[in-house]
Amino acid sequence: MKLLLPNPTPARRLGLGPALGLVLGLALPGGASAQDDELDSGRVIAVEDRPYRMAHEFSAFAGILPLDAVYTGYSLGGSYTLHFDELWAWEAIDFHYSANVDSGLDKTLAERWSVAPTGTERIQYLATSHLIVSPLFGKLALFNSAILYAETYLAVGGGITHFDDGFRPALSAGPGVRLYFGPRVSARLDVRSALVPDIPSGLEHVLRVTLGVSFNFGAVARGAQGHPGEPPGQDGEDNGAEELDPFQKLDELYPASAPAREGS
Amino acid sequence: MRSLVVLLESGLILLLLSGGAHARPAGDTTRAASDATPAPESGGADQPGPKGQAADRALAAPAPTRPSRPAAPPERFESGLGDFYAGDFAGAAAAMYDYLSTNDDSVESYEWAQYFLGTSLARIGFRHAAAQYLFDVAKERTRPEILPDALTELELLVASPHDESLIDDALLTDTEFGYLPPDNGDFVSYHQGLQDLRAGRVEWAERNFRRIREDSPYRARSLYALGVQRLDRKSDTDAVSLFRRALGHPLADRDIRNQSRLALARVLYETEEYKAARRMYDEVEVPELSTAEASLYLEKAWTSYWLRDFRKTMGILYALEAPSYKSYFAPELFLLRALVYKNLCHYIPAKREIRRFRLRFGKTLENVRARIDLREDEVLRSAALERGGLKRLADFRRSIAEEADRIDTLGGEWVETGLDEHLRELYALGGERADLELEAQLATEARRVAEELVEFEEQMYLLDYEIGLSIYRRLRKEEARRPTDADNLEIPASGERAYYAFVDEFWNDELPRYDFFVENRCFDEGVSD
Repeated sequence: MKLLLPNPTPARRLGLGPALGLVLGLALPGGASAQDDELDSGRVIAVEDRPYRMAHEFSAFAGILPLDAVYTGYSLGGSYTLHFDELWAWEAIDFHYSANVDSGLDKTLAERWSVAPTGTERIQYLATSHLIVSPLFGKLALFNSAILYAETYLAVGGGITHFDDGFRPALSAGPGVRLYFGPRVSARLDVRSALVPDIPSGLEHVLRVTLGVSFNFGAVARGAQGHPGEPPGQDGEDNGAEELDPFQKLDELYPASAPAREGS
Repeated sequence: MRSLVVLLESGLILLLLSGGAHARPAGDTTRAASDATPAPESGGADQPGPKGQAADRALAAPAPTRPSRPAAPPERFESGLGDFYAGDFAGAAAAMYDYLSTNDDSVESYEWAQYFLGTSLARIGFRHAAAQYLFDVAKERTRPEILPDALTELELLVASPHDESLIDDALLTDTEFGYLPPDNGDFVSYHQGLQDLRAGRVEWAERNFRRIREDSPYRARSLYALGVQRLDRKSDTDAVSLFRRALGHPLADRDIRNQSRLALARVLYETEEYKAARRMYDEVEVPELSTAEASLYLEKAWTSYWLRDFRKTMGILYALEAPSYKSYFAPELFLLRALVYKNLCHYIPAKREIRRFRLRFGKTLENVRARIDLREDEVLRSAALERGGLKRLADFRRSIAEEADRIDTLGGEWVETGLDEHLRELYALGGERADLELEAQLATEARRVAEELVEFEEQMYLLDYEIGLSIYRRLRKEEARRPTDADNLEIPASGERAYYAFVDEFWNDELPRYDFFVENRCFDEGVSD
């Protein structure tokens, strides 16, 4: 798996000065100075256009709320996410309805020990909004024959949770993984942990694990824009070569060779 | 240094001439001797004489030994035919072989049995054996009505490694077929024209090529072949025109289109139109991870070097270190890398590249100086086997070995009829002949590779000296270079591009996308003076 970490710039490039460099040099293991040597005579970096560009993302989810001992919630939901760039996105609305199934614990407690659990309110639905940051982007080799692109992200936000007894606010955060299947379709695995005030007993922790499929609209894969798989050095920074029609140059050099503009 | 590149390019063009157009290497004395004979007229009755026939016979399949069992009746041929049309090619081959081996060649449908045996063998991947039987049908022509079908099958076989001396030389070139259907006629005219071109009989070649119909894929091939010939004769305008016509031909296949683009890119490179050349190189498609791709990368690296795009040049050169290109012989890789470092004023790494060259090829250079049999040096041997006609011969030898290995997987009727034993004999003979030819050609090619290597060594010595001078060269302030975009080594935290630092692991999809982040130290030298 190849992962891209944001800005792997060494301290040197951050302009932290020789003193900090010395401190870091002493603090870091021997590899650091070896890396400096390597940097001196250059280093190889594969520079690739990101294959997909997300814009307006609509997702459908199925999931589970597994933490409550009395019941298990099976959720269905959907979300809309607006992607500002490759790093930041806003999950404007994320709604989930929970179908709750008794675990049988309350019945067992009543039968065996004649007690009943307190705080038996159950979640009915949740509506949240999150800010999403995607610092990790990478690719995976599938059976050494195909390459899949993936990213991980962190969502932080809040919203409301509706229990049997009414609405409660919630603070929500959690990681997620996206696997791209193409410019339009991707799969998501999300884990969201929400803290919900449960007055008067304190805070309730709601964990939600969802698996979803996302559809991307409003942007296309870079490959579909007419530059399929072209290295940046060849289509972007080519000293103007990308604007040059080599056949035009041949016409100039060898005018007599010019055919009636053959298919090239 | 420019002269070095001119030499390199001349070499590449010669390679194009010999390999690109599926050409036979120079020194084909058999063909050269035949140059003195008058050209056969179209439709003439210039049949090979008894001596030629004997030679062809020697190339063709050994006659099956007559088994002791009774002659197979015509029903056996019929049952083989049934198997063939039912898609049971192994069964068909066994039946046809049984029919052929137990009867003499005057029996009814003998030639048809040969044709169906050849075709059945081709269908199940015994291409070498198939070629032998189809050769017999096409060469003898005792049943002219089978000839077009046999030629069609042979046309399919010559698309992959095959016995060139048998099919290209002994059959297609040395045979006057008379009237042929247009498709077969184009195929034969093209191959005959190509052989004429290789032998320097340009007018004959052009006459053969003119016979090819305009709406034939061989038309595009013939245009390309003529383009290579014009390029060799320094008639660049004609060559470019022909390459462009080949490229624009509606029936040009992918291979010809790419070869034409490559030739045009080389022409642009030679005229120092590097931007246009690089653009043209970018349009060339070659099989991934092949020697052709490595060669293309190297040419792109030179083009980028002359464009002073050192980051891209070094990126490409690193890509060539991928294990997939390990067998690719490219001593200039070290030279080019040292040149880039020198241009960036990284003198120690530049000298390190020269040491790496000596480390990599030191043993081989010692062997050359010790005047050992150059074929015994592994580096020279493998480099020679990757070139032009020798590579095709080596590929053919490999295909013979692979097909021979598969004989044992087919038992049953093959064993009963003795076809397996016959094929073993046939493949053993083919293998021995290919080995002999390989060893003979290897000596010449290995010598050529050794000469190139010695030349590169001299270049490395010269460069080493130049680097030594550069280290102590005093610079004036006016000589200071201006920073360019290439000096920007910042990597953004996010954006449209992903930056994967190379960590000793080559990902095939990344090979064309390597960028070399290196500081240009020359600027400081200029301003500090």
